[in-house]
Amino acid sequence: MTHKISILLLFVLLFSQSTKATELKDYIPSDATLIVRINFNNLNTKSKGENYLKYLQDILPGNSRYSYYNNCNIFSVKDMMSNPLEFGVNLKSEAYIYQKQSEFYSGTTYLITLDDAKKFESKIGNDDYCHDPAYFVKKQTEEGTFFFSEKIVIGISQNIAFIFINDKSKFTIKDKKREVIGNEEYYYGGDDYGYDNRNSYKDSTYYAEMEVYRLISDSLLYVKINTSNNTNYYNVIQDNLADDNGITDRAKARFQKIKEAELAEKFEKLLNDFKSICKAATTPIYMDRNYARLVKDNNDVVVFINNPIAQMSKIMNPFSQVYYSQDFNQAKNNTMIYSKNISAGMTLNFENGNVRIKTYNSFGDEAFKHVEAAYKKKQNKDLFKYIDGTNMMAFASISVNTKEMSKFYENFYFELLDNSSVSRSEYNISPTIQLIWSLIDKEMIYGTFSDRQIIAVNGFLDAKISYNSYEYDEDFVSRPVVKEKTIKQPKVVWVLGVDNKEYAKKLFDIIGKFTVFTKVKENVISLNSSREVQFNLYIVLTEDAFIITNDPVLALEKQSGFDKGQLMTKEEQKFILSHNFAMKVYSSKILSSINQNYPSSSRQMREINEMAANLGDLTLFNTEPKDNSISMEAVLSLTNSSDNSLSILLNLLKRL
Amino acid sequence: MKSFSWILVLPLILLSSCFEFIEEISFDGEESGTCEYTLNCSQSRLKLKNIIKLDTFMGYTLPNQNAIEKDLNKVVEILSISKGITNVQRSFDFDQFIFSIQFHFDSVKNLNLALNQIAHHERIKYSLPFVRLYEKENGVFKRNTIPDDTLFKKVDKKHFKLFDDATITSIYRFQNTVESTSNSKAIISKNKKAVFLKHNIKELTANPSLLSNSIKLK
Repeated sequence: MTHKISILLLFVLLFSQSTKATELKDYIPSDATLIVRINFNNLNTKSKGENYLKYLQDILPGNSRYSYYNNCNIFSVKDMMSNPLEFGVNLKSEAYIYQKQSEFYSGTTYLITLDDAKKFESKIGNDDYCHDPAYFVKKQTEEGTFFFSEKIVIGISQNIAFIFINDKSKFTIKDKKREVIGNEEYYYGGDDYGYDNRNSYKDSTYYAEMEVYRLISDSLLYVKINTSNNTNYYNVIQDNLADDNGITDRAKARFQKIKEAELAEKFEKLLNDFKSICKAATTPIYMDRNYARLVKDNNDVVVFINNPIAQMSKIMNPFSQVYYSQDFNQAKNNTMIYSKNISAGMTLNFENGNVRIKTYNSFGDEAFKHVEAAYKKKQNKDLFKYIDGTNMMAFASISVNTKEMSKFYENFYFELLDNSSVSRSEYNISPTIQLIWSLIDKEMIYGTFSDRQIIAVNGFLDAKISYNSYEYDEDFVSRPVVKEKTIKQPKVVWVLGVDNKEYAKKLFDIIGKFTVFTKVKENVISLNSSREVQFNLYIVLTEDAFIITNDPVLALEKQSGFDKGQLMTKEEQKFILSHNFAMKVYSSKILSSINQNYPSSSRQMREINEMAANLGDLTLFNTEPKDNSISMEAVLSLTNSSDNSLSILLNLLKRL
Repeated sequence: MKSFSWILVLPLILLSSCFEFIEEISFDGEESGTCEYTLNCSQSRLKLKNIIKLDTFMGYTLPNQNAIEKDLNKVVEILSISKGITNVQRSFDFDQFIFSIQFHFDSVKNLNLALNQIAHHERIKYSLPFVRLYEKENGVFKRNTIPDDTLFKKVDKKHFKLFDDATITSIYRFQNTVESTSNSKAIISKNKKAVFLKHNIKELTANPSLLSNSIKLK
């Protein structure tokens, strides 16, 4: 009996697997570098009929307007996003966008579910150039219909459209062997891959034919001129030159055939690659632990950057340029400890009264040990006394162990350098950087300040500036005068906790030696106010803090701190103490202050008032590191908490 | 920037612009005199210094200091070769952002001609008509409005708020005494030989005719 039940269960399991419909997520390969998932169904419901797609169309990856080398633009993603229903797009489903590199291509792929594949197909290849088989090929296969051009390749398989946008203007295939036809001097760019990149139809046959024809025609012309009574030689010569016996037409036809053959051959070569894009991936990305964590909830938008080492290398690595020199050395394949298993992600959700963005950064085991240790440091409540909280408009607090964090970045960066491809002449740069870094006094860097800082904007100050103008006497004779006017400027305070007073004093004294500063008190220096610098900037060194502020009250009178009643609220203090990163922007308070301090009846001020009426606070904070990940959460609250924030914001944008 | 269109843009980039434009005409004879135009952006120089570092601002291409100097020099060059215009002097202060051009004219007719020649360089973009900005006939000096408020039409209406605090001052000095002025806001000097008129540029954008004035001389 048990045996029978097992067979039955196995049968049910197999049957359920075979009938399971392939979902869009199954097509995204695990080696995609960037993945964006947009939940159209959610956004449609939340936007309540307002057009949100027009804000999306310009920010989607791989969607910029290209200057096509051949003018054949077979499809416009931008047009599809502005009019999705006309393109037969199913707006009740999800859409995926991912970037991937293979041996032959790198580019962005859009995966769209279709309601009407015929409608979608009717929008492909409608440009005039696209009727030329040298620029555009269409092929029906078992897997679906494919539309191929050098810039965009589209596959339609059942109700799914795969739109691939090539990063480059042309595909290049390395193993192509082609008999070179034509005059070498008409090749440009030194194409490594053997393709004919001529932009001229004039091949060697053309020149050979033309030479023979000119010899004959010139001889005939000589005879014609000598035997004719016509003395208008110019016209005779021009008539002769205009006629080339069809040599040019034949050369153009050959050139067209070459181009057609090249495109068809590329297509055949790449077809299998693009067929694989249209099939479920063998190892789909949803099996990735970090990605799965992002998509487990029904988020409106998800962005995932998979192992962004290549991008980080471009930013941080001085050797990230492409070298063509012969002594170019491939990456050394050193062990990767700190730069492996790194990924980053973001989710965006429009809730009732809130817009919520969460970011995630995942690290490998070794890297995470340092990150986790860095996040153990919490804010010091003693620093609160320097912040006047009576008119708080925005604050940000950071408390991270920079020494631990630096250990991670140090290891990560040197690993990145050691795994870089460099030319032989640059072999010594990486060890030189590492040598210099090892000689730097880390105690001074990490030991001076306590890795705790708070920056706040808490009101406005009056500041005077002078300017040149003119005054006129009773007979209107002018004379130049210097006038003064008072302007409002935001009051800013930046407090850095001091760990080692001796080091901090050393820094303070060195800074005070610059001529732009004046010593106001033993522990206060002031940046000299000038006509160019409209405010006084004070640097204050106290027992436990290094303060930079433009508030003279704090710098000169309240060095031991403000009264308790003037400080930030208990909620704000608690919020800061519970996070390593904590930021709060009282948007409506800032906007109202701008209105009060810079009164105007302009349209811009009306817009500011409109925003102030709708926007609440912006809150940003981190959550506790866990599962090899750190995350941050940003919440923009709106004054109307009963409606969905997407429809409120779209309405607001429409009114502005 | 090949054209002088930055002159239109310059006030725009001052945001809540505190700048003044001063027009001074001092007659030293019946028809001849000295003309001086000054653009004083001293109040907004800090904003200007920062904004001018950008390539574009609010949809306008911004010139760098060299381009500004080149264009102003072109204006000087045009004036220098204009009929009846002599002693052209310029003063460009890029620290305070005060720009001034002064020249002598032998007749009001040639003054108008010279100003129109400068405007001519903008005609491809702005199709400026020939303007008789000033007239002096039968003991009456007239300051006319640019027909069809052409210049203000070139500025996007949404940018008008930038002129909130900007002013334009006109001072006309004569050898003869002034009997009356048609513009009710104009003030006659104590010695009766000069007329002073000051307007907010924002008001002028709405009503360019506020600048027009007819001054009757004895």
